[in-house]
Amino acid sequence: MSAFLDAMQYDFMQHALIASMLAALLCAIVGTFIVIMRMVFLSGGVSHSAFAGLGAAHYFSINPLFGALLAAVLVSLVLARLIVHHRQPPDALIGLMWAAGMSIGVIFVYLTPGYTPDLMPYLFGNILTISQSQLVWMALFTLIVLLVTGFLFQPLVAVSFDDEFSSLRGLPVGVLISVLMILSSITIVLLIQTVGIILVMALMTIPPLIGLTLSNALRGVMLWAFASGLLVMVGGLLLAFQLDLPGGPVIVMSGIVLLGGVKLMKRITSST
Amino acid sequence: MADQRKLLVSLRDIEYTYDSGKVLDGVNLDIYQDDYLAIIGPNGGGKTTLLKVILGLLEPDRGTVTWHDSKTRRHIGYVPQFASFEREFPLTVRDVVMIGRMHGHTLLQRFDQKDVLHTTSILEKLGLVDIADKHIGSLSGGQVQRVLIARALVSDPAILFLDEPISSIDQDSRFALTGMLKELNARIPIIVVTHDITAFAADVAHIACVNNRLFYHGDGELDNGCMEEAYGCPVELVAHGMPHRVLKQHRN
Repeated sequence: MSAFLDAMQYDFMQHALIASMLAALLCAIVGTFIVIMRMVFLSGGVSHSAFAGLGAAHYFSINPLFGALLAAVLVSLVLARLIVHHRQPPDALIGLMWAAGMSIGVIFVYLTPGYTPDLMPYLFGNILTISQSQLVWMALFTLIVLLVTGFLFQPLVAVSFDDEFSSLRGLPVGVLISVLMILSSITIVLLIQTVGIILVMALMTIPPLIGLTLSNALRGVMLWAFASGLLVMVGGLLLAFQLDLPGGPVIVMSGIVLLGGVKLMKRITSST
Repeated sequence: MADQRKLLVSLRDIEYTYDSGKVLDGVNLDIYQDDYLAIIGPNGGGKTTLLKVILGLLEPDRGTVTWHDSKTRRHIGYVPQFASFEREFPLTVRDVVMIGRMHGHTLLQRFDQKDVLHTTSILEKLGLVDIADKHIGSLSGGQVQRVLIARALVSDPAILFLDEPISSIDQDSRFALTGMLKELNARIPIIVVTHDITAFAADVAHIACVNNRLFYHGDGELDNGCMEEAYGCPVELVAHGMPHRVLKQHRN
């Protein structure tokens, strides 16, 4: 506890703590949809193509958050169209977008005049350097994600469970899938700030997987995902602070250890 | 003989091609107000594709699907194939059935008391009340089938389509299901896709035989010629212990 209080004396730790809570909330809601719809690889494609937008934003010196958002939303709308028309977009295409996004991003960063390319913060994130204004944007977008999923919860569940049946009930399947994809891309971009592009998928999937292990009902899954996400983010952060290690990787590894532990416990309790 | 019954859906010259090849070719079909139509045929013959084309879930490459009555079109009940959804999905039986109460025009509304009561009454009717709060992943094949039927029925459909409804259920559930469908058919038309006609043979009014082409669309009598043409090899038609003989006596 005293380690926690010590850490909390610093502004950057307070920011990091608030960012962790927002991230846990986003992972719990949007991540759960992504995992149950088996769109994890697809969201990986979105997060890596967001890097093209980040790089371009640097080059044109605009807020990198908006560059990344624009790229991620555009890519996810293309993917939503493919999902509606072909059920599963071809994974070769996602792989291609993955590589193209990174390449375009790196080229832009490299071309930016007077800017020494340091890609590490983007790739692995740095939750300890989140500024107050970044936090405000993050809170605002989190609020938008919460409101949209709150209002459209039932239709979104229906469409992600069975799109054909939903379309026969007159639900606007294409629109709802696009909404879901836009929400995912917003979430991905916000999470890139905390754990970086490479680890964002882990953060999107680990808490929902823990939730799915512990509950059979969607709300229960999301609650457990939130609780475990928060535990992993804050615990991982403090651990990283104590051990003087980078935050993102420590957060992700704590999540994987927790997931393994929960699965093991479940196996032991269900076999007795 | 001119058919005086109300025509609901007409399909004309339907053609549908997957990457692997043409699966429907020149299919014509009419569905009437009080129909009980069985669509039969070999696996891969295009039964499910035909059903999805009728429902508007697939767009045919050629030909037209015309719904003559828009009210019926808006109240379609659909029971998809048993294996068509993700069983790991974290929903309970009641959650899944309630999805049938949703409408496009009430997108932002929550379920109300009426939705809940109606869902409960359908769950009771199908013997699902005791497992209403169970996870769909923990159900048996027959239970899943009944859940999918309940989901279709809670919407008070004006027409009901079922895709292989008896493929994964035991004999007793089959009788219960076919009995219920027969009862429903007094009010609404029913279209059932099946590779196993024997369970339905006593009840259906029409049988359509699909193997890329639609070979026969008759009045419940089926002969070997149609079946041979559709299946591409001689088929024995046997109908055991049925109240009416709907299949012609086979020649020795």
